[in-house]
Amino acid sequence: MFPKILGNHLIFTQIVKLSMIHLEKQIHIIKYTEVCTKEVLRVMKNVIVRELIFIDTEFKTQDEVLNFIASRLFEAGRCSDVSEVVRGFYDREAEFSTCMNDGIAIPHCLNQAISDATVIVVRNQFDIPWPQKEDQANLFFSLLIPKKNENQMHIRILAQVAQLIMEDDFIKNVRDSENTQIIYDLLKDLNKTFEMEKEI
Amino acid sequence: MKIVAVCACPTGVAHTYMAKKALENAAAKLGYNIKVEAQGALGIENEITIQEVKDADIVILAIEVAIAKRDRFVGKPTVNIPIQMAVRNADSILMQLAEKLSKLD
Repeated sequence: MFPKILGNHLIFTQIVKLSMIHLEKQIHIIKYTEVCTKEVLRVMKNVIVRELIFIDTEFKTQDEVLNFIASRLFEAGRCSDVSEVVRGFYDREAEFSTCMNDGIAIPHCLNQAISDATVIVVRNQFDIPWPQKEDQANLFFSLLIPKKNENQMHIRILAQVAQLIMEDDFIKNVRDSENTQIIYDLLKDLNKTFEMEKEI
Repeated sequence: MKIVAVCACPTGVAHTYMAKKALENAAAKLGYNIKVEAQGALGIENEITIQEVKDADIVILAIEVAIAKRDRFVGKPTVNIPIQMAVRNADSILMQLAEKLSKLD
C-alpha cells in the first residue's frame, strides 16, 4: 500500500510538473502571439498614402527638399530621427547620384531610424540643382526603407514604384496631375499587393 | 543575340529593379533574348541557371556591389557597366554589344 501511495504521489508531482511546463508553454505562446500582433499592427501602414504626396512646393536647394521629406516622414510617425534620414540620403547620393534624366530624382535611403517603408512624392515648382550629378530635378520620388524587420512585401512595393518611374506615361500623368489625389490614384493600386498578402 | 544580365545596387531596392526593367524593355524592343537576374533586398530573383549561362552569347553585369554566385560566369564574355548606365542607356548598350559581337563572328 505504501509504495502505491508513494507511486500516486510521484504521479501527482509529475502531473504538476507537466502542468507547469504546459502553462509556461501557454504563456510563451501568448507572449509570442502578442509580439506577432504588434508586428502585424506595426506593418499595417500603407507604403503609399495621399498625405505624403506634395505638389507646387517651392524649394530651392537639395538640402531643403531632403529635409522636408525627412521631416514629413517623422511627422507621419514613420521614422524616429530626421537628421539620420537626411544623412542616409546623402550617404546614398555619395555612392552615385539618384538624379535621372528628365528632371527626376529618386533620393532613397535604407536606415534604422525608419520604421515603415514609405514613398514620398514631391513635385516642385521649379528645378533644383542636384550637385552629385551636376544636374537639376523638379520631381522627386523618395523611397524610405526600414533596416529592421524588413517586410518583403513592402520592399516589393518600393521596387514596383521604382519600375513605374521608368514609364514615360506614368511620369507624364504625374506631371499633369492637378491635385495630389490624382497622383495618389496612379500609385495606390500598388498598396493592394500588400493587402492581398495580408489576406493569405 | 542571347544575353544574361545581373543587376545589383547599394540599397537593392531602386536601381536594381529599374535597370532590370530597362534592359528587358530594350531587349524586347531590339528583338534580343535576355534574362535579367536581380540581386537586391529581396534576395536573388529570376535566377540565371548554369545552362542559361552556357547558351548566352554575352553576360552583362550592371552591379555596384559584390554579387552572389559570380563564379557562374567564369570564362564567358562579360561586360561590366555602371548600373545607372543600364537604367538610362540600355538601348544603346545592347546595340553596341550586338555590333561588337557580330564583328567577332
